[in-house]
Amino acid sequence: MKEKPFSKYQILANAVMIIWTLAIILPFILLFMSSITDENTLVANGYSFFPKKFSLASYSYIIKSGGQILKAYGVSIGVTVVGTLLNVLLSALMAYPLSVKNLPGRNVMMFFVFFTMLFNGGIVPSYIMWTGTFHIKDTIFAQLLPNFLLSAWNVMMIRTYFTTSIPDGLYEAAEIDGASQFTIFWKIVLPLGKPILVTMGTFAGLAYWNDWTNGLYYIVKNTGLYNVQNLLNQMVQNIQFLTQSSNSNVTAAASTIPATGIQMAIAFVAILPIMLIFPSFQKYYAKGIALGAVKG
Amino acid sequence: MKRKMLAAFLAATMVGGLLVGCGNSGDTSGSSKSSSGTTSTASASGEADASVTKTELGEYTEENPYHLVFAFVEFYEQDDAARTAVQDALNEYMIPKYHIEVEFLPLQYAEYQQTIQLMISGGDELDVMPIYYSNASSWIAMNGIVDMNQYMDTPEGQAIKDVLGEANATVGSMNGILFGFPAQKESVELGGLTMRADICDELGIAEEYGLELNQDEYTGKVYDWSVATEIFKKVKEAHPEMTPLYLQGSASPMRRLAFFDELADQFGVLDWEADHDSTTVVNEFETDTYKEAVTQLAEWFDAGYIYPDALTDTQGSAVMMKAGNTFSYMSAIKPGYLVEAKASTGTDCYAMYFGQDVEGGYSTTNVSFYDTGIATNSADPEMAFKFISALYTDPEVMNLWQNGIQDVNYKVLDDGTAYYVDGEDASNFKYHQNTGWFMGNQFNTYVWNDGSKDANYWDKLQHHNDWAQYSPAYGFMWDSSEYSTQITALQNALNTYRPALETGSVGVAGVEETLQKLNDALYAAGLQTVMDAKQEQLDKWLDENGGATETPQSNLDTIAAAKEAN
Repeated sequence: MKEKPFSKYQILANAVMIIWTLAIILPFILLFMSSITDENTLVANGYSFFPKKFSLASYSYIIKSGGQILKAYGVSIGVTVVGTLLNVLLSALMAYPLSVKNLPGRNVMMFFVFFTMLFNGGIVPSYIMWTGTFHIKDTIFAQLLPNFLLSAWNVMMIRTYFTTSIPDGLYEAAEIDGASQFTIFWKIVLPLGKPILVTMGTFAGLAYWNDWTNGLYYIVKNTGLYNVQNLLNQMVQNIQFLTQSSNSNVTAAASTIPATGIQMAIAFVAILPIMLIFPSFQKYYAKGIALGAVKG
Repeated sequence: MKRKMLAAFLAATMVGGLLVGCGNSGDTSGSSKSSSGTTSTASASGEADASVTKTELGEYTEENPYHLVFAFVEFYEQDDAARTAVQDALNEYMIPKYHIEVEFLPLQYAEYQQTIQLMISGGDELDVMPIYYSNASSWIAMNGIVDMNQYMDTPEGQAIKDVLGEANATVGSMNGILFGFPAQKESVELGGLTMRADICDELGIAEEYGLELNQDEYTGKVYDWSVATEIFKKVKEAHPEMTPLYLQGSASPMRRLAFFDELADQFGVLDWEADHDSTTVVNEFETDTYKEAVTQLAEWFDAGYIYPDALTDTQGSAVMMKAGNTFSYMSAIKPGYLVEAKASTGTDCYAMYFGQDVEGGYSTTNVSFYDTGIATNSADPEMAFKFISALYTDPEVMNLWQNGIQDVNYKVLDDGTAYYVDGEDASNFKYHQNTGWFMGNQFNTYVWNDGSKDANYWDKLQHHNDWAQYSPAYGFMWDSSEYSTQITALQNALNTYRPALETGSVGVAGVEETLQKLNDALYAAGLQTVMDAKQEQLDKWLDENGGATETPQSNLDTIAAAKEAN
């Protein structure tokens, strides 16, 4: 049977999707174009897809000034990689026992996980706990531990996937063959749970990469531990505050902050890794979400 | 049954959480109260031995100095290694003399208020800190600031009074609590236009008004804003591609056009231009003074004199001037201003004072904008107070903190000014804070020789203050802590309409209507309640103060003499 080449529905659907896609892609292109526009052209003529004059000055500034920006980049990458691995490992370790139906006290444990999804301590108590009890202030752990290490939502998603997608028969077969719980976890659960683990890993990775709140709250003295987002946030905030002030001393200070082009360049550099890595996880991503959601 | 138990457990957990929360907060406030209580009777009398510094809470010697955390804001990027070296040098000086070991805590301007607030509530190590005047009431309410009145009778307190003067030393008070000292700086806000020199020369504006490069000292000569209209007209005719005046929605130009004693937050003000001696709190946005000012802006906007995207623009005057298609912007002007302007705009500029001389006003807001105070986290506030005193009285401390180490970070020139060492300049310096106007006594530091300043620059700057007319409410600090909900609502209402009004973007036709909308929104947000409370506090303060603050006779003489001369 031959389908009609273009049904009205298809045309409409494609049009909507094309517009949708453009709305997402164009800002990125504009961001990139403004980062390679000559600074004076940028200020005089505004942002443009086809700048009159190109300049790589912003990128050479980033490379030359090196120190802080490259360091921040290193922090971002390190924290994201380590944080994501830890996040996935801990989530899976938490989710697997919860997916075992005859685990004693399963509901109580579920409740504890679930409770943190609804309630949390808020900023000030969290701050007091992390700085007063765990002393993570101004250490690399400040970027790693608070907020993102383990998320109840991830645990619930993974647990649901384990209970619904891995047949009980497999566990029984493994037990009959003499496998311990750890062997089952490493040899059966983790390989079979790959789609959901990769998906949750992507979420965690994105959250770590995009985060600037941890740096803002917990890194005060040792600004060498800032990640790229902290740097960007600090720049943007400083510009906002400094240019708004009517004090002439403050306005004088405002002129020393990096120019628009450099902000654009840093913003572009900051999203680059995510844009490169994301497509390679995409196949798991769609699968993991669909399975997790429909059967959950 | 199971469900019931679960519910009971849930409830228990939540109640438990609440209790823990209360217990904690009660605990911290209790301990900080007791620590400030024990020091309230502290006195440094009868201690002749210079090798030991004794306070109510401890004894400190050269071998066992008090460790003090000094938070400040860095407006310019500093080299980390250089900062550490300066900190070591400062301690080399501080420890033998004051028995204080200082730890620098540099913060960013954008975040310092939030960071300090978190540090106060978290009980982190923190002694001396910058206080933005509008934070004062809430930080006092959360018991975060040490009342410094208890130390004012000590020699250190007396020394601060000598430097700042009795009135300025106590301006950072609220309900009898002395929370901070203002930085020693020029507090008068006279201002006007900063204009591109090349265009002024070309159009004969410089000739007509006798403008010269680096002529920025106020001499009593002040122009009416209608003169600016003529200048804008000339510029627009000769250079239609140029924007005669750059404004920005997020930065209010109102202080240049009309002066109110804002009484900290603009919600309820004293209308100076209508009646200089009035102590009646009025709604700024209903006054004729305000309406005239925004109408003037709207006329300029309609005539095309104001940057068309002013409402939403975020680039700031420096960037726009650099781009080359902006003629002028509004700002406060002071001696030495034009050199700073050239550094930020990249072009030679002229300055002209506009408005009325009454605008050079001394109000609590102007003077105590940035204060220096002590956090209740301080292990020994008395030692912290000694350090603050040193910031105001000891040139060595101020110079080390501000300029770094002599001959490493700066050199002293023959005429007594200072500049970067050879091989360093404004673009590649390692350490140069340049923030004496923010904390401490900048008059104790070397004058920075950026091309226009000489050794008696601080005198000039101090003389700038002689133009001040004092607000009748000078010294009064409004305590808004009980009205924070209303203030937030009012701020939101104001932010909705102000940018459009104060960039002229509404056009002359829209002024009346937008003002009406703004006032409706303000009253709906509780403006009357706030104004009544403010008036009540002001009346009470006037009673205690023995009447309104008067402008010192010497200042009046300066102003009168200039009027005659012009």
